[in-house]
Amino acid sequence: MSASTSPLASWEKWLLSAVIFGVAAYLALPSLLEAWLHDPYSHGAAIAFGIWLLLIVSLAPPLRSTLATPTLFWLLCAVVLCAVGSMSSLRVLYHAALLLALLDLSRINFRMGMLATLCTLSWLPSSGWLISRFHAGGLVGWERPLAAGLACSLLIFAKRRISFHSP
Amino acid sequence: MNPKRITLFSLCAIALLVALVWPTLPVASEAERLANLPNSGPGFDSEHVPLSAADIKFLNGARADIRQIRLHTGGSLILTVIDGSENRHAVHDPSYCLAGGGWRITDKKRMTTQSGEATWMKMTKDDSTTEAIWFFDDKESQFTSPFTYWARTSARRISLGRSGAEPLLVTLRALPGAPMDWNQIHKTLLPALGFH
Repeated sequence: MSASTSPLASWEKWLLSAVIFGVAAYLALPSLLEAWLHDPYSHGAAIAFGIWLLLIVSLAPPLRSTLATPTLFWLLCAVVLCAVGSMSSLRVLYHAALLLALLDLSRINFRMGMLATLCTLSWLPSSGWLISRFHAGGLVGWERPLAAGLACSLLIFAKRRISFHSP
Repeated sequence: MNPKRITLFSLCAIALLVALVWPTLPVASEAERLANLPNSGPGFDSEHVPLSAADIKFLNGARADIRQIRLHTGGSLILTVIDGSENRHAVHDPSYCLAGGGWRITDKKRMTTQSGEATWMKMTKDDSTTEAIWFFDDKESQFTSPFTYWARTSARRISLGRSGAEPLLVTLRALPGAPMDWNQIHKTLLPALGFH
């Protein structure tokens, strides 16, 4: 959904994005913090989240940029995930809603957003379940930040090839 | 006002209202099932193990019953039954918690129970070795897939409890001592405890 088809004025889109981000953060942060503090497979995930967040901020186009293509896709997915996550009590959907709300606020384009979504495996608590299949005793703490650093480096490399003009 | 804009704002408002209100709606728990677990039966007797402060913090509203079961043929087991009706997130695939606690699962097999299946595991940590079985029980069947558990408990919350009983997580861990005859346990002990 591109800017030309969006029924919202710019300030309305910002307002809606901010409200949905607030609700997604309210729903996701308690369980994220709990996992980051107590889950042995999420050691270092808070740092990985910080690295990912810095990357998203650095990829975001300037606020007044006309190159950015506002889209309602991330926002609508985030609001649906908030509702379905609450109805089904699935925390992973809250985490996904927060991720999409952040992508929406950052206004990065769709393809970069998809790549950034892949990088979230470095901080999502649910990825710990996969790690536990292969490794006993939890993580030491450097593994997730390293994974985030590597994934973000690949994303920066990809950015050179994907223009903000692309839909 | 543009009708598209009205539709968009209305849908977002409804979805956000659902997101904030739905978790506060009550869902029936399985407290009665936990309370009705027998203390003794053919070939065994048991005693309650009080929940520690760490257990209560971890459960965060979920109900649990921990028992030490003495088999008359020799050997003891720790039975843990968790009802996640009030906090589904306290219920995990036990192999995740055990792996997080440093236990290395050296062997794992699927066991057939009277109405489904259980997972048998052999684990080591430092110099200790132990065995355990675990399964989810929804009164009618036993299963071990965490994805099935998530699907059923999610359906239950979406339907506000109308889709069926909340599956309980049942774990039996052998204490060091006499070797366990797990086939005998699933044929006699589990039905006696109400897990048919």
